[in-house]
Amino acid sequence: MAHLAIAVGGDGRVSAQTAEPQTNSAVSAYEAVIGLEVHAQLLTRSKMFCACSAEYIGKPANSNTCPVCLGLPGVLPVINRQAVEYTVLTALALNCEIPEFTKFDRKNYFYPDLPKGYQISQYDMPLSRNGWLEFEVEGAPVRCGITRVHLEEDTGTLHHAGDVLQSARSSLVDLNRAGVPLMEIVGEPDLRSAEAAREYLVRLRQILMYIGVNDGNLEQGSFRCDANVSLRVRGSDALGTKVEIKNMNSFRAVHRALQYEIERQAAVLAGGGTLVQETRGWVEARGATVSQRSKEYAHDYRYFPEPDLPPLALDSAYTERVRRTMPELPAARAQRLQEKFGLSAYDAAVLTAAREDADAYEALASQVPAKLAANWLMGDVAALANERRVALHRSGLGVDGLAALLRLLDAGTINGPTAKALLEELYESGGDPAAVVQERGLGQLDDEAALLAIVDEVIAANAAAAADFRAGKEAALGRLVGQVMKATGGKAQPQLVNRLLRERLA
Amino acid sequence: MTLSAADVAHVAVLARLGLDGAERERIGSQLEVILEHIARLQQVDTSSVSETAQVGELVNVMRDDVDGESLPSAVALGGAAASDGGYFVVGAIQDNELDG
Ligand SMILES: [Zn+2]
Repeated sequence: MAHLAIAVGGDGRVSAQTAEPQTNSAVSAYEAVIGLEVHAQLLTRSKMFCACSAEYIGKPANSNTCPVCLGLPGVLPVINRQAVEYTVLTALALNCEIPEFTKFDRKNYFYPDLPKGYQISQYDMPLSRNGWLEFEVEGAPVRCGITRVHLEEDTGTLHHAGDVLQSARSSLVDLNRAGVPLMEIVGEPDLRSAEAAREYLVRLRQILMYIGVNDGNLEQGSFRCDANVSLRVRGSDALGTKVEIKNMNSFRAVHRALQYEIERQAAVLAGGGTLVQETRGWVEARGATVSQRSKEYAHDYRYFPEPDLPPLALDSAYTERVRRTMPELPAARAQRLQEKFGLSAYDAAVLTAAREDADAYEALASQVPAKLAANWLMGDVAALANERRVALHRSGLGVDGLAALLRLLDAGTINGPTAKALLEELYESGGDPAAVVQERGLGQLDDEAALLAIVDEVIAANAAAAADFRAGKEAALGRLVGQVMKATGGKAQPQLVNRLLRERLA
Repeated sequence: MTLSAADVAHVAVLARLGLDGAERERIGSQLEVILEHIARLQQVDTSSVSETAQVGELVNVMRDDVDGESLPSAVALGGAAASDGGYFVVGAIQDNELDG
């Protein structure tokens, strides 16, 4: 469960502690209006309009292209059926309407990462619109509208010689990514703080990963986010000047960039200045947003319907068929597990952060007490997954192995420390915990007579501690328990040792 | 229909054409002739014709999500004016290029 921290927004909690400039007095006079635009690559096998692989990371430059995605003359694109289905599934998960007619359009602009001179996207008749996403920010419910979810193709990637844009004489173009199916999810400007924006992204990413359409990797850019930020005087409905923020590739960067931008705009406004409508990039190293040379007037995309692609007529029967493939979504699952297993809201949220985690929990909770399963998953297993960088469901031990281990613990066959040691030992290598316990004689020492003999030896060898305890010093008992545990190689049941010592010292 | 000098300059930037003053003037007047022609077409009564971008009646033409062969990169780069280490090489991307 290495990803837990991110999925529940723990990442942001860290950044909240590492303190950005504190909210200043200028900020409190204004209200932030934030809208997010997310681009998410779809987990298809092939590209959007050709049969090249959609997996492009780590491949030699330009080894994953064909005449269609190279934009050579005379070729015809054909729509990837799975990409359409994934987009509809996403739109349904976000409570969108799916119109019965949709089409693709050409978005024209010249840039070397776009070999055709246009991107095939959707303009006025997207695959879906009018949805919403609900979540909580600091205990208060927030509903953010979803304007639309549409389908388009990704661009290639550019490498600038020396990475210094202004001094580079040439740029290198790799078209391996060109044509990968890309979903654009446009949110309404319903978010009012950097925290709300981050939470929206965390929840959106969680849903996309739950329904299996996106791998949620911000660093590698399979899940990307741009933000529009403006400020208005608190209580006013007037719209402020909108600034677009780009280049935020972690949840932490999103939070910091938005917080920075809100404070920057507030300072300009409070100082009687005016804001410029512009695009600014987040520069992590400087901890600041920086104006990118305005290309506003180049944003004249001259959209027109894509003549090479017949439109799509997706009837309600199709939509209903897709809806039936929808897995239980995280919020509903957290609610159900909370009720079924008596979990706290926090535990339920943590345990359902990723679908695999929730699957693991449900499998375990059906075999051992639910509380025991929750404690181990959220405690030792989460720590180990994080430390070894392997999620439980991908580990050698696996969910079944952990269940076998916890059954031994629950039945009293082994004690807690032994279970923990076995977890660490078998986590990556795997193996049958019961067989290992049998083979090495790790079973808990529950033979009272045998244990009593050891207890007597320990009392005899630690006369001072025994005398202390008899004189009323409770703490001395701990020392004696420790000695007995040591003498038994950690196999004794601590509660039993405790009882036997008390009986002998009475 | 009159096309301003600013319109011509704007279209030139979008098309990434670096035009000098004389060229802008010459091409501007040619563009104007084309626009006048379109303006005449727009006078035709099309109120009974629904907007269309497709002449065929096809809908829902899709392919299964199966990955196939890509081109060897040497072939992909075969038509490039310049390439280096498997990459296409283009002039440096600088924002001010868009200023014409
Ligand atoms: Zn291709």
